[in-house]
Amino acid sequence: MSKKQVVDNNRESTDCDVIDFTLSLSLGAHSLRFFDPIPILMQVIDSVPALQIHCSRIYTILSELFSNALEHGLLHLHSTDKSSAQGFHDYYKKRQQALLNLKEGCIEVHLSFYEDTDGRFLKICMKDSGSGFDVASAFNQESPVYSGRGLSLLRYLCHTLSFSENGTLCEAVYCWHSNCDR
Amino acid sequence: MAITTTSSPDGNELTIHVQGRFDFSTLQHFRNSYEKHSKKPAAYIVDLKESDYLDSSALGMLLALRDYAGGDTAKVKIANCNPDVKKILVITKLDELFTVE
Repeated sequence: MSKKQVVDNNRESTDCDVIDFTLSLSLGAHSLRFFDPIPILMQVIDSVPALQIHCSRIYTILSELFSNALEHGLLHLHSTDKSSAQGFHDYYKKRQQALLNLKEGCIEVHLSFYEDTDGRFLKICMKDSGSGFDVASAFNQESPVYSGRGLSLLRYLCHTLSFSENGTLCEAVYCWHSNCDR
Repeated sequence: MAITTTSSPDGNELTIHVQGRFDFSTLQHFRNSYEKHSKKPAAYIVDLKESDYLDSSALGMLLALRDYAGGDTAKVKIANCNPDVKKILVITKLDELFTVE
């Protein structure tokens, strides 16, 4: 490999680390009934070379955040119903039914990127128009067999995770490049 | 997304192959894939070789399969997990309930 090629490759790898877009998606009740935003968001994430190895983890984060906003924020479903295999299946039947009947409500997703001395980060904000939930009790909840894993997964995968506005706004920060690894 | 199954020649082992996203969008297909067999196999394998995307609803689906297969006496193996998926199973302690490969 010539010296010029090495230099070009280095420049290419630096360019790949620059992520200078933001993405906002706002879904009303009608859209939510028929449209799943996660594949679109993942298509965008997957098109960023530096993020490709993180897709599996980012998918889990997005999917958990969106499910929380939709199922608990707008559809008023309770994870405690998932206490048995039958309860678990019934929960998703109820979800389907409640979604078909959804008349109002909105979920907004905003993806942005930033960098600081600790590393490079993806920030995901998920806001729903629902009435909110008791964040403290959700975090302290003893995990019933079929539920309660979403929050533990989020806490494990995210650099920081915070709920505000009575639990209707969640901000999850994912570290895709840590300077501490160096 | 697709769920397909293969049975061992003696019918004692059922392998469920998950392709693409593994979450509640495949719930009914996943459930049908093991409930449709008139003779219950002795062991189940969930092959995640072609699935990189999994969330907590998929974990519930795995638990429902385990329940169907006999609960604490069930023989359910989760095969070909990528490292991220394996980590998720460990974090949520599902590795204690399933054989994870």
